[in-house]
Amino acid sequence: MREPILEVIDISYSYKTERGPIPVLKDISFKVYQREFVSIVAPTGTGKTTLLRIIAGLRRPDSGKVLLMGEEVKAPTPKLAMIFQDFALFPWLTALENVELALLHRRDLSKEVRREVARKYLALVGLEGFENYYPRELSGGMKQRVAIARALAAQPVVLLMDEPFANLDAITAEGLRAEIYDMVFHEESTVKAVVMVSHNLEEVVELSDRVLVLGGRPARVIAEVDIKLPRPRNTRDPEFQDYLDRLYSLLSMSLKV
Amino acid sequence: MALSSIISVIITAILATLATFGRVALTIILSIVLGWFLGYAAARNGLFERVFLAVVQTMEAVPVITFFPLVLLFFVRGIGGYLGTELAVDFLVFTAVVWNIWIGEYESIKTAPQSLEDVAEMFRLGFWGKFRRLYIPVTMPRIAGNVLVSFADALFYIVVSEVITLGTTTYSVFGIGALIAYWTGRGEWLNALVGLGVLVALVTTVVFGVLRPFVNWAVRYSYDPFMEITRTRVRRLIVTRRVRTFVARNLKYVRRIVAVEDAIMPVFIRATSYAVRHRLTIRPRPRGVLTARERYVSASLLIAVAAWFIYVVYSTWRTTWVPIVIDVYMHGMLYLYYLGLDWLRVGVVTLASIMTAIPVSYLMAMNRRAEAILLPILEDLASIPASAYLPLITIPFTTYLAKILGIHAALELLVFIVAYLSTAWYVIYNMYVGVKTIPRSLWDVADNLRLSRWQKLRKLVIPGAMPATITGLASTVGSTWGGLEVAEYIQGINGHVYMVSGYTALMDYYTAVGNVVGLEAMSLILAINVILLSVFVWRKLFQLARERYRLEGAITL
Ligand SMILES: Nc1ncnc2c1ncn2[C@@H]1O[C@H](COP(=O)(O)OP(=O)(O)O)[C@@H](O)[C@H]1O
Ligand SMILES: [Mg+2]
Repeated sequence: MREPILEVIDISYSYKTERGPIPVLKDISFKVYQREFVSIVAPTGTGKTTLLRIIAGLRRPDSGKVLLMGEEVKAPTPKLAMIFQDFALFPWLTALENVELALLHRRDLSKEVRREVARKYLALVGLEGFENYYPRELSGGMKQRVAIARALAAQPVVLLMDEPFANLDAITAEGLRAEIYDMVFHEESTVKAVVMVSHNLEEVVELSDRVLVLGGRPARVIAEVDIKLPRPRNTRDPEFQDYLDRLYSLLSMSLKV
Repeated sequence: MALSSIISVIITAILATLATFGRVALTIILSIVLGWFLGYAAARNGLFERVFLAVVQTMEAVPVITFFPLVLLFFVRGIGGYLGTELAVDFLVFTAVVWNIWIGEYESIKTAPQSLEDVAEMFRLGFWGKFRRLYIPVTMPRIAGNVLVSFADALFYIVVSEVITLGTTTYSVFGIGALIAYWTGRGEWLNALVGLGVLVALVTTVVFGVLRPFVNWAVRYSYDPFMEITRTRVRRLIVTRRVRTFVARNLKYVRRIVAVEDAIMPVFIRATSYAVRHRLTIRPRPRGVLTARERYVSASLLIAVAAWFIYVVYSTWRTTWVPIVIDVYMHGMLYLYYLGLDWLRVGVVTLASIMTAIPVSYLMAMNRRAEAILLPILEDLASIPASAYLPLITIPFTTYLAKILGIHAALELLVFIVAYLSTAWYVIYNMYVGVKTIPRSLWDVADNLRLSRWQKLRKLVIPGAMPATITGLASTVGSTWGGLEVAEYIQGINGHVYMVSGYTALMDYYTAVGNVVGLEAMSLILAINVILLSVFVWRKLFQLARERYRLEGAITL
């Protein structure tokens, strides 16, 4: 058996509020292997973002642990770079400076080198020439491209994506979806695996090798589906539609759990 | 008068104004810098947060004059000399501007977007990195939203406080307020007028040369990820073909939005409306839950702070503590009566301001031309402190009008006018911001339903502008008190003293005759009165505004 890149072991989590704890996640476990694109689907409010933030080390779980290449994740690290639903671009920094953020912790690099690297990644996502634009001067799709460039510039081992297309208009989202797989797994990329969270089944089937369905309250993994379709995938393919149907029925089941 | 002497007057006035501006800048910057650390600490630590909020929210509504005895005793008498007076002046101004700034900074840091904090953690920016790249920048839009009011407020109090007369001794520092007072006191009207002219010119320069560009720069800092492009310049030629098509696709649409956005929202208004909206709509992330032990610690901490505060007051006043009680016992009813009179004045002035604000803001919102002319005037007028031109406008009231109306009515009118002038701009401004934030679609609906002008005013403009107006009310009342403070008791013209029956007049009088005991007693009563008001009235009103605003959820830009 291959060694897993990322291991999520028995994660449970509840939010502590004034009115007592609200359990959100219960005993979530899964493994992600080399060059795998894994998606987690669930309706809004299930706890997908929470799970992703726990994996990223941004929150400590109540119990369970996350292993990255066999080592426990105890604090946030650039090796687990995350892309956020709201793009999370600093409005007071230009596109280039936003990407440079990912390199600031690399004390071994000089300012000029950092700048060069950042430029390279912006070019990779197709934003050459937009280095000095502020986020508010960019369209939604361009903002998400900057966010992707920033995450990749951190040279992560695992890329975590929280509903990366949810806030883009349909046409822009479609365009970016078609490109993202190649951006993430380009020849020199350090990314060994991707975990994406979504509630849009079409994008999930288009991109993933494997899909986990979460459901219930607190949420657990209620189903796991391997998607064995050759890439690039065609949404009008009957097999594609079969996968969609299957996931739809699983998801509606998850609402009843 | 010889030309050379006019020039020397102008130069003196310029230097004095610069000294005054220096004080204003120093105090505001100090408040801002302190606020970053305190706001950060409060946003981080649930214990500190509760104490911080309790103190700041209460202090926000306390009129500056309340701090007067403290300042006299601690700085003017305690430290003494020019330095003591200088610190006294700066401290008074500090108490006028600091609370608003701190609340803004705290709320901004508290509501810093979670995802940005996550990014900072993920890329290991470290404490200073996070501070520099995240927590300081997030406060900028709120600081910008407050900056005009802070500047105007600070200027108002600095001009008043540059001369402090206690008994037979006069303490003063070099500044335009002191200078104008000195000239009017000696009957050198021309000089006083020139000084005022210089002040007006320099205020205008600062408002349009410094504050406007600052605000323009700072509104860029607001986090609104889903707002589409507002402005784009192509900074240099873009070369590769791939990029060119990409740009062409996006840019056409970019340009269209730019033009519209700039036309509908003048920059100060955008900043202020951001501040109002932020204050009303933020739903701070759930506070850190306190364990039982922490709750005890925070309660005892709060008690400790209160006890310390009381001790400080007590110890500075120790020698006069018994006399204060006796004073309150003897004159208590008189004080309460005067307090009532002053609240009545505050009420009348506020009402009058609202009555003028409604038509003016309506006119500005409906008529582009009126807006373009009135808005800059308003911004400028708001910043010229009534306290500076007070000595000059006093003259007709104590001479000509006093003969016609009788001295009492004339002075009462003067008090009303000065208090109104210190208040009305802010009320108009706040209300106008409120009107501007009513969404276009509601105006369209009103037109579509063919509502009459009057109906639009009643159904759309007034309710739409109320939340913003109410939010501003606590601080506009502070300005009204400031107006009363300067106008109820006027000293030094032809050596005469003019006063009306009022609370601040009596406080001023006590200061002038050096009755520190009475002053302390009155300041204590005022403080208690205002704290009670803040707890029982302002917070309720603010809550109401907030709920109202949320109900009308449509009111966003
Ligand atoms: N800071 C918080 N405090 C309390 N409850 C929270 C907090 N953040 C999220 N929740 C609750 O946890 C649940 C999961 O949230 P989230 O992970 O954002 O879901 P998703 O990303 O799937 O939409 C939601 O029901 C939400 O109300
Ligand atoms: Mg989410």
